[in-house]
Amino acid sequence: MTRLCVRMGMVALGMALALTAWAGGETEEGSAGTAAAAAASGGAYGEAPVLAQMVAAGDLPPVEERLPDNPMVVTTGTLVRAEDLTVEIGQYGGTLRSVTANPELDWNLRDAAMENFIMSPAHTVNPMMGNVAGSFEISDDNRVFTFTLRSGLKWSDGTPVSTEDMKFAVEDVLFLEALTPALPSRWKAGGQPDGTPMTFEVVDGLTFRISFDQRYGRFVREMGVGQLWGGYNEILKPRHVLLQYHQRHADAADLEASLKESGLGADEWHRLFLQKDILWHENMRSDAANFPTLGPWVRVESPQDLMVMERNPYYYKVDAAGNQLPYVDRYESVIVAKAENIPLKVIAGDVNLNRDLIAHDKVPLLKENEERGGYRVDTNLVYHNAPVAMFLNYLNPDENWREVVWNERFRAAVNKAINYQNIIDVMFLGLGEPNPWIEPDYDPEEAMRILDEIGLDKKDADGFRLGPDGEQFQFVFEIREGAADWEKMGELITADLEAVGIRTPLKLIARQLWIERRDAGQLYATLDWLDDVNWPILVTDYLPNTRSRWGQGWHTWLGTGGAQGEEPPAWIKELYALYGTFTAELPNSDQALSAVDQFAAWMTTYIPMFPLARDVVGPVIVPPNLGNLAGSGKSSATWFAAEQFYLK
Amino acid sequence: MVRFIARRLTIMVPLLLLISVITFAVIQLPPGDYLTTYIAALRESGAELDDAEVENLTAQFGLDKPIYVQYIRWMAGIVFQGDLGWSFQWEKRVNEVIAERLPTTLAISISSLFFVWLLAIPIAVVSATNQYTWFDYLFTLIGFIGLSMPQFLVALVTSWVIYDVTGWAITGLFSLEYVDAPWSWAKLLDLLKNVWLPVIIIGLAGTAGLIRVIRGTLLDELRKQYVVTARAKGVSERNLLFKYPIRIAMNPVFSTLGWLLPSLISGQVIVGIVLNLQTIGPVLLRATLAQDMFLAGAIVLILGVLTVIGTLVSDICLAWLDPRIRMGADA
Repeated sequence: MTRLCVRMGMVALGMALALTAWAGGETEEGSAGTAAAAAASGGAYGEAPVLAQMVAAGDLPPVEERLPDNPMVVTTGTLVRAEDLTVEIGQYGGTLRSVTANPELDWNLRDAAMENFIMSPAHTVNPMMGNVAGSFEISDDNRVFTFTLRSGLKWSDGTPVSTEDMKFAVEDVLFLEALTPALPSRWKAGGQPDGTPMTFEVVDGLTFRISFDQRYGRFVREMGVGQLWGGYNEILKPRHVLLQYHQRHADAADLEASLKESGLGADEWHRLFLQKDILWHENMRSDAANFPTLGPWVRVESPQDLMVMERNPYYYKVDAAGNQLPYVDRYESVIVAKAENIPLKVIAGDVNLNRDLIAHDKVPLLKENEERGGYRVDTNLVYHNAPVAMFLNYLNPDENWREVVWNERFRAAVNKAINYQNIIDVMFLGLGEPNPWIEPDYDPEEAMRILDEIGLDKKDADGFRLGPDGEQFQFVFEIREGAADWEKMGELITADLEAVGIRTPLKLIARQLWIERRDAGQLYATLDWLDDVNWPILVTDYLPNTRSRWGQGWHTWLGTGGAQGEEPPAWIKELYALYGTFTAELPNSDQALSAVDQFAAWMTTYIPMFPLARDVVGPVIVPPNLGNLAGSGKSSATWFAAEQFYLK
Repeated sequence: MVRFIARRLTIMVPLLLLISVITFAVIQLPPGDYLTTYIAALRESGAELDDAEVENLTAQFGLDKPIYVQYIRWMAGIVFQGDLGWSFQWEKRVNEVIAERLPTTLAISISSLFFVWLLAIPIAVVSATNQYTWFDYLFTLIGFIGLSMPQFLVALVTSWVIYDVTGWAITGLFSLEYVDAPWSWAKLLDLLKNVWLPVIIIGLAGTAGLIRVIRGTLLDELRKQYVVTARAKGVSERNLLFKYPIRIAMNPVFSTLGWLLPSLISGQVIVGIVLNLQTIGPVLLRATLAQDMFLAGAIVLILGVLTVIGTLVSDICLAWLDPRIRMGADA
């Protein structure tokens, strides 16, 4: 009946031990030994000294009562890939301090404080493990998903978590139009905007079931496998806190008073509710203070220029020795006026942990001042998102343009004309890799030969190639303003293309104008994100209707059964067949994994877009004595696993 | 005089209303809204919202209402409840965001104002009375440097030099251990330790400018016939200087009071950013960039109000200071 059944707890511990053993020579005997000891002692858990004091003072129940019956055991290969990190048993205490120029967002804190229902070691799809939901089952046809919450799991204020909280989140929020005018696609069959909404059932106090009317294996991603962002908040909310703001449940007079206090009108209870309800991307903001969470740290009150999170005494994860996580007491972020203030803040020693905010050109300066500032610049980890790719809009109404770019050989020539390694050297100090999908064979001579062959051999007075119609051909390259590095990349590509005789007017246009031109299908060539390069098939950046919408008409045609849009060519239909597999199958299934390979081959064959690089090193700031920092892999992976960070 | 003030106050009402409309319109001018920038920021961090989620957020922020409705509600809140609106970015009332930063902002502005006056007025007077001496030349030189160097550059260079020489980085008004602490003597000392550099840098250009202006006016006055006559009649040099010429030379100080009030609140945006000061200037910039419209609108509105009030105050001061203006107003 069911193909997959994972039960955490003792099974997970066993698996964790197996994984530790599998990690082989690098594994310290000690950690495996203590894990075994903790397992043997049968629930003697360790806790942070600050919490032990509160327990002693009677302000907090003992750790055994705070943890669920089957805490999640974190060890090598649980949160971060085993090949990137051998997890050590840490010690309690200390403060991690990040920095942000955005008072509404610090992803260092946000990501660390977020949890999903189920999970896999970050950025991978294998193995699938329980998380907030300790176990889960998936029907053979990938339509019915049954999850069981950890028994004894508690919100950060000590209130038990149950499926009542989920029923509230789904029926009173997600399916209530006043609060959710539009149901996000992930809750619809196949993840399609026009799919049938999920059916949600509560089985018992801990078990719930979500079913769809068609195969939707990708759904496990939405619940947390191979996905990092998203969290549990959409279908699991602290009912006990939010009831008082919900029209269906709240006392009318109280609700009216709350509305008045917030300066909202009587017809605007939905705004009050949505303000009070903290979503995953709001968990580090000031209004999230003391909002119950399941994450390792809870936002607390703080002055305006600081974000402060303190440990969640009810967090459900323990290390292999049975010590409750997180190790670090506080996680803060200093809010600065502008991103340009960040380097000096770091140098001054006010910041000891940050990812993705340190520009490559600041690395030498920061390295030089490491000792004075008491931090370390680590350059072993790579960004989770790939740098941008150049996209061509295949459905621009310009016939001449179409004739040129629809030609596979033209795209092959462009690919040979672009010097990817040069872009990596100039933009990222050489700390990146060219994209493996497309052979990195920079050969401008060959590019010119191909262009001559396909009929672009006639040139104008300036030496640029004429189009098929005998008129000047322009490879119009429009980049949206705002990112200096995009402009620089655009200039490098332009120089490469002009070197082989393709006239490439580079235009920087305002973001809004870019969006208007994109929506009207008027773009020619442009730059945009293509994260699948670093992280295959997590996102759908490769589809013709996303990002720069390089083939919107094709997507429309397929979506409307041919009523609107343009019929796609065979190679695009091939792409959609692969997409169908990604949607229907579980991401760790053989079908999905082989589709990933086919997708790479498809990219190599057709070169529909031009990814500039991948696995670019993202410099990070860490305390010199930080433990359990991964030695390789993506920085976001180890940052999401901040609960296992400790200060030596 | 009373009628003069009353009339000016009456004109202020429609003027302020107009300012508020223009403010709101200007903030709406750039394409997109707060959500556009918020979603872009989320995107940079790796996360993506689907169209439905965007729609839900739009409703949460009340951005689905027509612009005029948003404006009327905002104005009604200000007029009837003194509520300046909601800051999307800070997830707080605008009143709170501003109130938290007002003390430091005023402290810095007022101390640099006094710094400017205390330094500029005596120097200008001595320079003018001792024209073409080494003292005059020295301060003319310093004045020109102060005028021509952009403050942010001075701020950048100074803070780097201080860090390089002493290892002490000025990265805000408080050291980190005091940001979170309640007010105490130690916190005040810490503030004093950090505040002098911004005060000097912010005051530098003002000092230089004021020296030039007062010196120029005073030189003009000193050559006038009434001064020569008075000197011929045997009035002491000291009396001669302070009785009239200096009073007239002070005119520019008072006539610029009108601009001074708003600059107390939002002045020195760039220096504020460079030195990472916890003042209102950087908040205004960030609010504008993020299209946090009620916050930006409220600050601009307050600046408008202060300019109007400042102009009134400076007119009154001038009338009091200069009989020629007073007579004109009464007539």
